[in-house]
Amino acid sequence: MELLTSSALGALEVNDASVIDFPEGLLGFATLKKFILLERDDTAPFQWLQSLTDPRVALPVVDPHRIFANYSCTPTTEDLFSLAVRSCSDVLVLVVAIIPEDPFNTTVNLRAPVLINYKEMLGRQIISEGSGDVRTRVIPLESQSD
Amino acid sequence: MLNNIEVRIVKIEGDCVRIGIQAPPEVSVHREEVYKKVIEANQDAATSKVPESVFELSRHFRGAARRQRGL
Repeated sequence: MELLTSSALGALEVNDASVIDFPEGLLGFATLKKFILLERDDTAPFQWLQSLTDPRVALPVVDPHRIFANYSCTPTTEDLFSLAVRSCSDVLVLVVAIIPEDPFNTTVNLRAPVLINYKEMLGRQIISEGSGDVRTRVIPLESQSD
Repeated sequence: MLNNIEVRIVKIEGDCVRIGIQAPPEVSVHREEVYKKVIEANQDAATSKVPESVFELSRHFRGAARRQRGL
């Protein structure tokens, strides 16, 4: 058990078993290789990928199917190999969200989903052609007046 | 692994060059712009305002889920 003070989420207790190894880091954060995935009821369905190396780095992530029911991504054999995937049902797919000051302008990165093999606690951000844009609005502009 | 990647100039038209890349399926080929865009997006994501704006968004989604279930 380790204690971490996250800039975004406050004091956190980290259990060794919940640490996810990202051997290549995340794109733009290549040196950050250890993350935990945090769920919070008050931010659901958004979860948090919190870096253990840099407490200032926490990325909001969300199950893309919660927003886009037909979402699919296409990992390469290299991606699956590096994640040591034996069964696709062991893999969690998440997309990184950018939540700006006005949360209704939130976008998610459908092009580069984060895959986590939770049996091996291995993660990798992949580039998936044809899965959507790097910045896709989660709330279409026309529905903002709801 | 790197000896079976083939890069060819497919077409030169004015100041535009079309490049063809042939690589085995286990090799991912992406344009550098895509990486740059993803890197920028990850950096913007890491500075997301938390938690106030997230609470608002979360309420929106939970409200939408309730509406879908007809509650």
